[in-house]
Amino acid sequence: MTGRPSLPSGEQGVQPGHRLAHFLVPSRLEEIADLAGAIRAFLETKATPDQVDAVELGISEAFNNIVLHGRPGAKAGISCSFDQHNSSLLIEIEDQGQPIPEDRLAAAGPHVFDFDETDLASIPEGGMGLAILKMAFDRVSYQTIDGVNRLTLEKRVGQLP
Amino acid sequence: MIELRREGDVTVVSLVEKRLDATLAPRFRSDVVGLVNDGASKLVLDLSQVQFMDSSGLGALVSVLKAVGGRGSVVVCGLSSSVQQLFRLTRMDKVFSIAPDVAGALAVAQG
Repeated sequence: MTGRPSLPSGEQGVQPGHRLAHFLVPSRLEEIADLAGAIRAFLETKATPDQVDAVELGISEAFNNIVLHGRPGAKAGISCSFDQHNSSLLIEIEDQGQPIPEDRLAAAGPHVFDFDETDLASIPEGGMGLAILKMAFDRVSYQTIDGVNRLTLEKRVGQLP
Repeated sequence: MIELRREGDVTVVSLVEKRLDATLAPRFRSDVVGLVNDGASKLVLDLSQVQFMDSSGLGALVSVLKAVGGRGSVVVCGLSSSVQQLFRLTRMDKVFSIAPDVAGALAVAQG
């Protein structure tokens, strides 16, 4: 992450309701590995390994969706910030690309995986990302205001230290 | 990105990357489906070095499975705990033959 002073930015703290960490990364697929590494290190003491895996997976799917479908441009940044509230992690991801169509996000869910495992043709090769994103978190909301898309993700992690 | 070796009529494909994600999945899909199109029909996919997989990586594995179709077999092995979690979440653990390691996968593929 050398040479990318914005990843991760400082802002470390433990006060409930305050931002715990903030990451700002360029909108390129190649950036997700570094972002994921930073997030894993940040969450190591804040969640169980399975919860950390789920958060990494969900954020990766969100990031992929922004880069591949929102297309904000390689120089545009994607912001990812972490807060805590009671026993939940609250994650906000912001970008200024094309928003996710409301019907696509609403339609995504576990039913994507209600395939017949004996029928090869019914097994999806794509279109799984938003479903996985929603399944990885306990609550997902999305809004676009003044050209800024904000994806809010909640993960219950038990009592934080 | 991948290393290949033959064990009898089985092709062992080892992915030598820590992540199978949207960055690498298209090339992985192309390379391995290319092997199938060139005649490989029994595949062991060794994912023991892969610590993270997303939906793109999963989709690439499904593409390989579909390319083989009913003409052969695909066995995946060496799944990390996070990859196992992804397989369970998406019910792909019901779709793929899964073995703990290459030796176990070869036994399934050759059986």
